[in-house]
Amino acid sequence: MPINSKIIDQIHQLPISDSEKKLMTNILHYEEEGKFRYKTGYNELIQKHLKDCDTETEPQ
Amino acid sequence: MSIFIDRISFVNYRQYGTFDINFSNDYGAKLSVLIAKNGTGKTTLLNAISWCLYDEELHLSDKDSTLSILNRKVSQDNPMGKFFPVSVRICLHNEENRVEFLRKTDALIQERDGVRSIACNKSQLTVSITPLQGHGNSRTLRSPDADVEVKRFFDKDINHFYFFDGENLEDFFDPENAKNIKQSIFNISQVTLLDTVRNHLTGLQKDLNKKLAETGSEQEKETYEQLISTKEKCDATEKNLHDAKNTRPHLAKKREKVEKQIRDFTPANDLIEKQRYLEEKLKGLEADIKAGLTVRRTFIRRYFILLSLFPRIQRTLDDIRSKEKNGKLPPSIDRTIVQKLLKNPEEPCPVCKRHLDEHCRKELDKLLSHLEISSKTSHFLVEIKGLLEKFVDEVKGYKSRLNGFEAVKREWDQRKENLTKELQRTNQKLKEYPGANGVKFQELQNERADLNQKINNLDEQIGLYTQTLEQQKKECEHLQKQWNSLFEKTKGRKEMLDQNRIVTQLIENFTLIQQNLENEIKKEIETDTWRNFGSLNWKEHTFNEIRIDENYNLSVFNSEGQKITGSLSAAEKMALAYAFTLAIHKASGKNCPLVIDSPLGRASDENRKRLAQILKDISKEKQVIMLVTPNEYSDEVSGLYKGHAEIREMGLTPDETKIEMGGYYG
Repeated sequence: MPINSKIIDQIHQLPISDSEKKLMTNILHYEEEGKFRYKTGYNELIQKHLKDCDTETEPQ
Repeated sequence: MSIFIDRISFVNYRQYGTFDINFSNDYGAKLSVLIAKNGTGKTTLLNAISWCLYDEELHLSDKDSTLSILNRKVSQDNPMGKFFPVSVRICLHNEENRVEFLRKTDALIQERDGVRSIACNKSQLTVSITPLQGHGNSRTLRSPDADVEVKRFFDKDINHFYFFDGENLEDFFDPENAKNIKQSIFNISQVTLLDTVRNHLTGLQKDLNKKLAETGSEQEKETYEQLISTKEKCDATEKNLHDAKNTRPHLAKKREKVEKQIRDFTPANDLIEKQRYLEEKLKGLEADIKAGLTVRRTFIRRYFILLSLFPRIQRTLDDIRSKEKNGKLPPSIDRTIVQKLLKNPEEPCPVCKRHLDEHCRKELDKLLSHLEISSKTSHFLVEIKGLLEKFVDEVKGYKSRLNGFEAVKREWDQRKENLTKELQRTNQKLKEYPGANGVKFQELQNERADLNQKINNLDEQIGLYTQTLEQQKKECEHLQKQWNSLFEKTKGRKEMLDQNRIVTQLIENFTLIQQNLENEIKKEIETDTWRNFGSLNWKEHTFNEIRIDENYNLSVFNSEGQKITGSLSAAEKMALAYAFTLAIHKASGKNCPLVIDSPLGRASDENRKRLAQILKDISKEKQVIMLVTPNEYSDEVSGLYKGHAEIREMGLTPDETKIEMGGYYG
């Protein structure tokens, strides 16, 4: 089921980075699929987000 | 998503037997009217739908004494020991799919103790989904997946917003249902999803904090334990507060019901009025008796004083009277003047102005010996004579006055006794007053007092929990800051700390979104209900606002800001229920059909036509299936619908075992 557009709008209005907005949306999609072992999935998504943040902030 | 019911098919189901009802929107509006006399099968249609979808006939008046779902004719005409299929199939479509909900069971005709009975197997639900555009494959689902599909289309929790019993509108204003509405709307709009995410993130945060504490200093461990313990306390208080807030509307509604029952007892009200009147009268009489007794006491006290003085008074009076009789009173000669004249012989007589000679002096001595009292005393005696006579009269009149007092007291006592007996009889009648459901009136009054007490206690608890929660949250914030500052000092655990930071941020953001979404949804339903109600009701100045509280209880307010939901007329209640229904439909994001039993039954002529017009207007947007009696379908309604709706008559076969459909009116 698609995520309610009102929730997506609310996420977009938050004063956070795009990467954080993406993380929130990914978590919602993950939860919507009804995965059983949520902790592993959540940790993977958070770690991926942290990795992406590190890559973004690394000096070129 | 617009949903349209195309057909409802029955096999051996109750009086419908084996039968199809097709619905079309050939008349421009998606409006179908089925006209049937009471007892023909209008409510059975609602039951068939709810049985098909939820495996429960939700509109039965008495579930314990109802016939089996197997058609009566089939059960009568066939031998025992034979199974017969019973099913209800609902075929519908939306923009994407054609969907069929089919529930079937097998019914066995059996005999127990000489009585025929029907035993049914556990029913099975199947949902078939066929894409309309040819994209994707057809699917057939069985329970529990089939039940999930039912929930997606017609959530049972809010079934009365799709399958509407016009005669039973209380469901729309019941706090128990309000809770279901809230839950269902939260499910549909994914507030529940946000809640689950928050809970999972909180679990994750707990694990991370635990890991950090285990690898940290003693101070970190201690702070962590304090933080967790405070958070647990905070959660417990929050739960208690939530429970108390949820319980309050139920109690308030219960009290409202009890009060209504008490109000509805007209004879009891008369008795209450009588009770009040008698109590007032008795109170007044008791005040009169008290005042009368004071007067009587004062009288008796005065009498005792007079009685103790009476012999002397009587003697004095007799004396005065005797003196009067003897001519001594009032005095004709002043004794003092005579004495003065005798003492001073040089002084001339004040009467004749001559000096006294010896003869005169002897005469005056003789006169003086006769004058026993002074003139002053004589005057005094004359003066008090009247008073003494009054005292004597008073003493003599005591008996009759006392008798008078006694007579009045006896009358008062009699009246008091009569009133007290009457009051006791009235109180007894009230105590024994039977209620509509065998509930005694006194029990209702006790229940109301009990509910009042419970609500007051609950209000106190809510206040206390709110205060405690505020303090606990502050403490949590403080400990969290302390905990965070300890993190910053800790080196070498960057990854864990980063994860913890992100999780904390996520919890905060999801909480904010959830709160905003909850408020937005509630506001939308409130606004839509008010707008719909404005177009549905015909009064322009009476209503001012509709509010939905945090538990989704609906209230209507007048222009003076008074809550008047309980004072709405039956037709206004119906308009409010429709307004709320349409708002809920909109909030659910699905344009579901409305199947309404007795939609116009509660409205009088003028309002009936107006309601009929409103339903016609609604049917331009969504499918409306109306189940009406011939009385409800008046000439005015018929004139309104002719040419714009699919109108059919339903009736029973002569043996009353099966439904048959009459012609189309169009």
